[in-house]
Amino acid sequence: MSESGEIKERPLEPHKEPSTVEIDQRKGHLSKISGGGVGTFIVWLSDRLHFTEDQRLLAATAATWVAVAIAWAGPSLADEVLRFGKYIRAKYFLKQLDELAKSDPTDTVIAAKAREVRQTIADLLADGAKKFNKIRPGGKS
Amino acid sequence: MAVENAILGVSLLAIAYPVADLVWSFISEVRAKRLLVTDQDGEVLAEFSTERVQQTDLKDLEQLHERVRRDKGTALRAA
Repeated sequence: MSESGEIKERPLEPHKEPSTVEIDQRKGHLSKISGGGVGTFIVWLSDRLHFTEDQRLLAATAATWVAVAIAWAGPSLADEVLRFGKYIRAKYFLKQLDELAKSDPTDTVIAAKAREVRQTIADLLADGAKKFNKIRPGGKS
Repeated sequence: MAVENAILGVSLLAIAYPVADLVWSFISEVRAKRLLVTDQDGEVLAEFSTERVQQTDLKDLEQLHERVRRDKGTALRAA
């Protein structure tokens, strides 16, 4: 707000967010690291629990596949967790917007804007969910 | 014993770092001040905050929604 009481237009920051590819790469790298960590932990545990030779071989083999599974599913699971965070934040923002629209029922423009924003956010969140549905059995992409 | 401990340390670190990163990212998403709509390259197309929506033209919001529907690379980001 300026001194005269009118809302001052704040220009949109020209900053650039990381691209989708960069974000996906980061998630991929971290999933591989955690997969490796879990695999190593399984091998360490099998040694610690004094498994027999056969059991140790089995654990080492399983550890490899567990690591691969985590590296494969990790990015999608991380996406889903972060999308849930976005959903919580968006819900709060839309609640604020609805309250604003309710504060002046005669102003149909703000109500229309709230509807438009709600629909845009819903579409964006649904787009993100499609990626996760691809790996879910029976999920539609 | 030292080798065992080193292996355990490395594996726990390798598990804890990505998990901590995910938890931190989740908290950042939930506590974000603004919601941004970006294209595939990370270019900010719009900023959603109650103040910003009040200032933005309804026509611009409709155009943004149209673009989001058309271009599947758009994403919602927290900032």
